[in-house]
Amino acid sequence: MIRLENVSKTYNIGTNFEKNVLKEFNLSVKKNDFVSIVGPNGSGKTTLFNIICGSIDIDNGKIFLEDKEISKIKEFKRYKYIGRVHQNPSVGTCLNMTILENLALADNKMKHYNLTWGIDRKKIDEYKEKLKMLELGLEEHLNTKVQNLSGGQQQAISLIMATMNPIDILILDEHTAALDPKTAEIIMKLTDKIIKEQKITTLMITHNLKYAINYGNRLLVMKQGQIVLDRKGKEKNNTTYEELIDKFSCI
Amino acid sequence: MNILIGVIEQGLIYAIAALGIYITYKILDFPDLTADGSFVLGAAITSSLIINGVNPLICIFISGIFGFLAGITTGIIHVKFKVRDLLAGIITMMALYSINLRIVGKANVTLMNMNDIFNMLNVPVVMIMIVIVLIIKILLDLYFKTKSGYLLKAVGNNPNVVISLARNDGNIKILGLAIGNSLVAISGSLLCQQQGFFEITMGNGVMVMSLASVIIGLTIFKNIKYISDTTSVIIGNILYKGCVSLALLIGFEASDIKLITATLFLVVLITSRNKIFEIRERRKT
Repeated sequence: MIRLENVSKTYNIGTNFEKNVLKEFNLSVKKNDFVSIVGPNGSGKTTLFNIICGSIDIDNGKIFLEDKEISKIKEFKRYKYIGRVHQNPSVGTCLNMTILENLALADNKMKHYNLTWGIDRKKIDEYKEKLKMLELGLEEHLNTKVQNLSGGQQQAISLIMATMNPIDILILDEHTAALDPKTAEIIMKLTDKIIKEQKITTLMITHNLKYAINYGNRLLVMKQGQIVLDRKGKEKNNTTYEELIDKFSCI
Repeated sequence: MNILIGVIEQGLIYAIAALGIYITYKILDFPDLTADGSFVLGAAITSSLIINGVNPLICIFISGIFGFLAGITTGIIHVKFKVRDLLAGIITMMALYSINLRIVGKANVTLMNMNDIFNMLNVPVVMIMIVIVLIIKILLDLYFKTKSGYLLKAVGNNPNVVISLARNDGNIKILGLAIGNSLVAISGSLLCQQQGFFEITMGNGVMVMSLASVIIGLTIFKNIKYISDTTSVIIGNILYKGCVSLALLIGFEASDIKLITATLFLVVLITSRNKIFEIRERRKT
């Protein structure tokens, strides 16, 4: 589904702070895979995501999405195929627009943004259904501005907006890290539910090792721009928390 | 009474520019100094067309189109060439100064005894202005409820969302600047028709004055649910003009107007400080 071939990225080339984040990096993810990525800060996880989404350019290598090379495609065009949820809940929504307006915006993703009404009244029930699934009571507050919601609620809306349209790949960049443990749990369960229902290929960075073990069918540990552990399927299911902690401390 | 009518007339004319600034500053979060140039551009085009016998109503439309182009210019300088927002506006404003002089041929021109929309009809200026401002206000309100309008609001609020919708956020920014500046140019066109002359300096401070009235309007009516932002801006502009004429009535000289404007603007900024910080905070995240 998504394939990175010999991708390299160096920051601050030619200065004292030159940092080779990814070196000849290779990764291949199959369709419907749900990959969790863990690793210490500075291991290149977020760089990896930014490279896939096109927020930063690569120095060398190629990125393929379903055999189509996307390395040279502009960031905004790649989002035709990609949905992304960020660590900061406020990045995924328009804070001073209402829940309804945000959902209507996202709903129109692959269509034209022309001079017809922004909100299709017939679709409001559909939106309410989606919000009901969250069990956060948001379906009663369609006309509330998103800035008045809690971080967890905002993140739930971001998640819905990112997955509202058919996408090839979902990118979750520590999307539960800014939330309290209970809310994080709710969002994580919801994420898993959406991914399973819609069968989306997913890449997820997390610092929560339990999530990395309990969710998804593949687990990557990254360190200094390299994959140091790669477990799939059964092997992944047998991975224990202690083992992972061990892997973390020995590298 | 005459003074009051004068204030409302002027307030309504400048309110159109304020609506333009509302779009660029408040919705797009873009401090757009092009306005000082595009305001005069509207006036320059109108005066030279009227002298050549063109229908004054058509002049307004043509001014709007040229304002649109001025906005696109600033937008392209900022978005495609990555020049900072303030500088991009200043560059276009500078260029427009010379262009405006070229269009008219000299620094001031009188349009006395010429046709303009205010003497074409036998209706008081205030009435005509109320109708024009209402039409523009309603069109804008409707636009903000369309899909395109939503995207415009989204790009100022959070460009990330627009990118994640697979849209080019830069192009939408350019569109917003174009709409904003076309309103500013229309305002300039109407002012030169109303006062019956063109002056190359008539746009000085339009951006700051409009911004002051945008902030006055939005701050005063912040907590009143049933007044739309566009209405707040229009009323804000009339209030602002009122304050300035009040200052003149008390005994200030006409030459003090810039000082009064600057002071008023500062007071407004300080009293609505929380609001400004709110915008900054959001921009950081």
